[in-house]
Amino acid sequence: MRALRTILFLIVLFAGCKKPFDAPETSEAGTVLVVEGGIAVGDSADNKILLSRLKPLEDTTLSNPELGAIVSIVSSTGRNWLLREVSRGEYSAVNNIPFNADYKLRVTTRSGKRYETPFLKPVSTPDIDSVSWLQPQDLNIYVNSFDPTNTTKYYRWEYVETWEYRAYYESFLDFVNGEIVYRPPGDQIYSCWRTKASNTIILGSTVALSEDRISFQPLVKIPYGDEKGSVRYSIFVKQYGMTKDAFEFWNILKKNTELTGTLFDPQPSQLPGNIVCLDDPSEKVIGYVSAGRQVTKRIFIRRAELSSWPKEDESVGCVEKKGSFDEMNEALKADTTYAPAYTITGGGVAIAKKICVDCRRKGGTINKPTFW
Amino acid sequence: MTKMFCFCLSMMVLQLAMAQQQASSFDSLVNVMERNSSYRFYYDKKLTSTIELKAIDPNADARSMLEQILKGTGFSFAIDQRNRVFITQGQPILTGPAKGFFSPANAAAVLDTGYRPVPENNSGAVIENKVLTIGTNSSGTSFIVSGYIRDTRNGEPISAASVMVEELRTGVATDAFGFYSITVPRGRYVLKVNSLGMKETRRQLFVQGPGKLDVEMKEDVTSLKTAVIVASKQSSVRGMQMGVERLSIRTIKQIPAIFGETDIMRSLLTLPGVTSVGEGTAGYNVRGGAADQNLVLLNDMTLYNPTHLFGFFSAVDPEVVRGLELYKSAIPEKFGGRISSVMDVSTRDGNSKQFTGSAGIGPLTSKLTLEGPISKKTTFLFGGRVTYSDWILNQISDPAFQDSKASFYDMMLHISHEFSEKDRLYISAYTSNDRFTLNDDSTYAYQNRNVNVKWKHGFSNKLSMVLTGGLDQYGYKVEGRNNPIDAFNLRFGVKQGNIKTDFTYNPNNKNAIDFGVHHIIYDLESGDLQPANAASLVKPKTLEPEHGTETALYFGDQYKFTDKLSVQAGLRYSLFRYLGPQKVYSYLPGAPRDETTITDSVMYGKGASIQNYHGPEIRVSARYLLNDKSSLKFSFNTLRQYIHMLTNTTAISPTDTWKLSDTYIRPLTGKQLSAGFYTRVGKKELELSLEAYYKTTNNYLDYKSGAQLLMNENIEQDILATRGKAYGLEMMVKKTTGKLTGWLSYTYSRTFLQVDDPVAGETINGGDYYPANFDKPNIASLVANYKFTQRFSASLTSTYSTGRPITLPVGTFNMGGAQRVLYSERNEYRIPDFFRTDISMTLEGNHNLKQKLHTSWTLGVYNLTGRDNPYSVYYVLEDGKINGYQLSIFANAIPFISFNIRFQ
Repeated sequence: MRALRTILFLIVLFAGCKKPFDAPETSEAGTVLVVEGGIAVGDSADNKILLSRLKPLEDTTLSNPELGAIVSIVSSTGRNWLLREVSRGEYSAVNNIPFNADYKLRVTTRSGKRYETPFLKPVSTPDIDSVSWLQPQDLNIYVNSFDPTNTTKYYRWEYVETWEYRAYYESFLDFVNGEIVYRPPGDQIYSCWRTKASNTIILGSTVALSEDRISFQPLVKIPYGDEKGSVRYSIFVKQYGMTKDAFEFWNILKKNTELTGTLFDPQPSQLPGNIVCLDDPSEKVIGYVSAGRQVTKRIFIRRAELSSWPKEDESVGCVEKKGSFDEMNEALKADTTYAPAYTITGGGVAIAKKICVDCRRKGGTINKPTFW
Repeated sequence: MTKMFCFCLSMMVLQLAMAQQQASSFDSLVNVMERNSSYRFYYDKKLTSTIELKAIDPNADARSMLEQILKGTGFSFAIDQRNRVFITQGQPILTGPAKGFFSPANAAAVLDTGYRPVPENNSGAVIENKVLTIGTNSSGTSFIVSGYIRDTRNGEPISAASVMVEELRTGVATDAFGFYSITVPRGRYVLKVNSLGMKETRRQLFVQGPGKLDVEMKEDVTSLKTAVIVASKQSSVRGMQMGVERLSIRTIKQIPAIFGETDIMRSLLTLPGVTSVGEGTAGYNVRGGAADQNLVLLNDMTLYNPTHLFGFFSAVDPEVVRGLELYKSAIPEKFGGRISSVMDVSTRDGNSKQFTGSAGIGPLTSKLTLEGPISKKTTFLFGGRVTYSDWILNQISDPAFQDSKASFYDMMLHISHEFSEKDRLYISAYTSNDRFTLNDDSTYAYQNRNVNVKWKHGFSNKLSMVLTGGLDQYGYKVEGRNNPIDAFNLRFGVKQGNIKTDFTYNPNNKNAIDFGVHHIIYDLESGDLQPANAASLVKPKTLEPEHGTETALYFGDQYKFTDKLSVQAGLRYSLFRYLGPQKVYSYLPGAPRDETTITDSVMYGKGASIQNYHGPEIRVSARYLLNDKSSLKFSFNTLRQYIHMLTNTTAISPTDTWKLSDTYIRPLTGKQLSAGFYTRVGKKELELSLEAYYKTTNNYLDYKSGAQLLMNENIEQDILATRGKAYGLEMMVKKTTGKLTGWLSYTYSRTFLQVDDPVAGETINGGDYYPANFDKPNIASLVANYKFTQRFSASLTSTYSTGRPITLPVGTFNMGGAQRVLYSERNEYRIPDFFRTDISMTLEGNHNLKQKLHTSWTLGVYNLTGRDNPYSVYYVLEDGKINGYQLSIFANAIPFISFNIRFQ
């Protein structure tokens, strides 16, 4: 019987064996240039190009920026605009770039390698008609646009959300040098603003429609009761008109993001691009640069405009401790996760977890954005 | 007194017999001589035991040695042309026919010569010497002789047996029912019958008119000897067909199998041109064809998923199988519907002489086979297998398997009834069921159910017909119970009804004509998703079922131009109709199909014709005999397929679905050109074959990135049509005689695909050719069986192949606000090469035919070297880091043992 057990044990090993895969040398990481951004055409167009290098799979850093490159936009009429490196790997400039020419992006890396896109005809992206929203429960935000010339047809959107939110307690107190003190006027930690850029690829196309009209294209869905709707919410929408090829690039990029996972793994596709290394045309370059008019729109939504947007119930997590100033001074010294919340009418003070008092603890900033 | 005497005599005989248990000295001499020469001795052990050995000249030749030994013993010897030595008491036997033996004029004289066969106690041997008169004195010069070839043991018909008239150098093969029909002129002939694994038998005919001759053959138990060579000679060198692999159940059983479960489909993987993407996968690939391009027939029933446990085992019980044929090229015109290969599995008819059965116990399954005559004219065969793998899974302490359950069974019933010499009826029914629960949350279940009825009618000796009606069903169900709020039941099913009429017409020995009509009705339940309970939030969704019909007409003729040149030409014309009810979307012409390019939708009513496809399929092959030992063959085939498997995984997965060709998914078409050279070399009669092929396919489906294949009502939005090309060279050396049998094969083959879709929207590898998932350039395999004694044999198989191609993530980058992954070119890399060796040995009980119970043991080791062959490579995101893992299915050496019992 024992022998039989042993045999059975060996048999069940067929259930499989997993071990780290000794991947073949791929050597592409670090060598492949990644170009993100487009040529914005128009008056005081904000041009921004991000350059980085492909990272190895095991690299956990956010990005591997390409420093010290010379980035310029070249027109078919021979004009040239230089983009400056404003931060690591980010090259930008604000220029007036006329619509009546074709443009290409030229990059010369620090090592001297030259990369170029072909001349691109700028796409005359139509204006955003409106950014609208519907809120049966979750808050859905849509974009609407219309191109009367019926030429754009392929769209991509990016957005930046900014929202105001507040701490559970509005505290005028601070804890400085072991003592609870009043904050100076204007120094508040009650209202904060958070900003988040889109991290999904939003695409739309009107090729099958009789007119080039984008109607109720979903951009973002905010779950019912989310912090974003708690005070005031704003979304800044950027609309890019694109060529069919550019659209397909983004479409594949969008679908490829998911990793292959199991025994039954679907096949990923390869990414096309429009940037070529002039010194070595066989070199792989990631990115698709489009040229076109830059179109943006910002809207605001106040909580009062929403139908019964619930507030997160923080009362349980934000139970305060009360006592005299001296007692609370000691308590704050002993537990640095607490901060003073409010003074008690008739003497004493209440302290609470910092996250209930200081809105910055939730990731926002107390600096009101200029557009607010 | 007489009684007493008899008793004493028998006692003496008994003592004598016991004394002979020890080998006599003559016996050992024979052993030595047999080992050191090609002579084979035939003699009576009892009588020759009295011969005493004398000192003999060791350098003398056999003839003079024997002369020395037998001198004065009263024994004589005779050596014939095949080096057979016959020892007789008194007169030596005549080893050749007497003069004029083959001359009909002297027939009577021949029978009166001193020719005396070696006494053998069976009717087969006696009948071989009888002159059988066929027909009464009819007018005419040529007559048809027809009949059935059967196994003498159980009355089973023998298909693909060769029936030859040596004097005329003409021969035919029996059909699936064991029926043959041959035209011969009036006269005296020797009819020679050969079949794989059977003893060659002969009949002496005196043909005077048309007539019937049924022949029974005996199994060749004395290892694989002459009969096999002849049969193989027929199939590889002389045979018409090329690119066809025939495996008898005996060969299949010699191939070591995982857990000792003889596996008819796995055994195919040892043959050149047949590969799979990995161990334990359901599909197989034939000459660069995808897994869904293989037609699997079990007694003409179509099996959609003939595997258990997602592909670890094939779902056909080997005990009921007579043999299988795999057509890789030169697919006969009577087969259609798949473009890559046809696997034709036939079961036995059941023992017509007596009731017998067998039972087997292995580590994974138990099986039972029963067969026998129900009445004089009716026989049955039943086979069933059931697993107890639940019990195995419970023995594992690994918590991952604690709540896992796996169970499967399969059953086959075959009944054949003979109404008359001209009418026979066959009923086959098959079912297989699988159920697998992983960790108590998701259950996968699938089943095949098939039934068909065949009526064979002979109009005359020249013309016969088979009418077949059948129903084939396959379906699966997934029960997701991961979480009560998303508990679901998902179902898929495919059903096909078939009506087939097949005629064969043999007007003379030069022509073998077949023609027929096939009609298939398809009904697909494309997908049904339902919440499993009231708490589940899963939205119910049902895809519209699909309907279609496939009708095909075919006609073919095998024509013998000369003895050397034979040509088989056939045409099949198939028509497919995609029928309503169905809602069909229209898309903007020339634009990639997606939700944004839909322009309109049309609702078709029940039975409305939505889309028709039709076209001819050409099947041509030719054979040219270079000489007695070599031949050249050529074939050209075109094929069409109207049903596609939707899978974007490399292996067949339990949730793959089937889809009919429709407005947007065009039928798969394939063309194959192949040529081969076949020869026998050396004294050992090694068979050498060399086949080369070039193949193209059109409209094979690949998928866009992130395609959702399950429950997708607009699958046309996610597919890419591809064209494929495949080429290869297959070499094989086969040894079918002697104690050591087996084959060694090497295949070089490549398979490429290329996106060929004007509205693709995206391409793969920039529109260039890329290797298919099953592209494995170098494959070598060895299958060897050594028969130590009648009761003990050992087998070894060894396989090497290039690792299959995979697409790897090669790096990450930031774009669009998130981390993205860059993949290599499609199938740019390969998983490590595959190598595996298995051994097994079989120990059988004695071969006494009278014994009621026969037992045998099989034990062996699967993956003897314990090589960790990767099956799949996958990547996961762990703590912001992308890690790659390889998964092996059988990463260790796995010993197994199984016990079989046969009773009668």
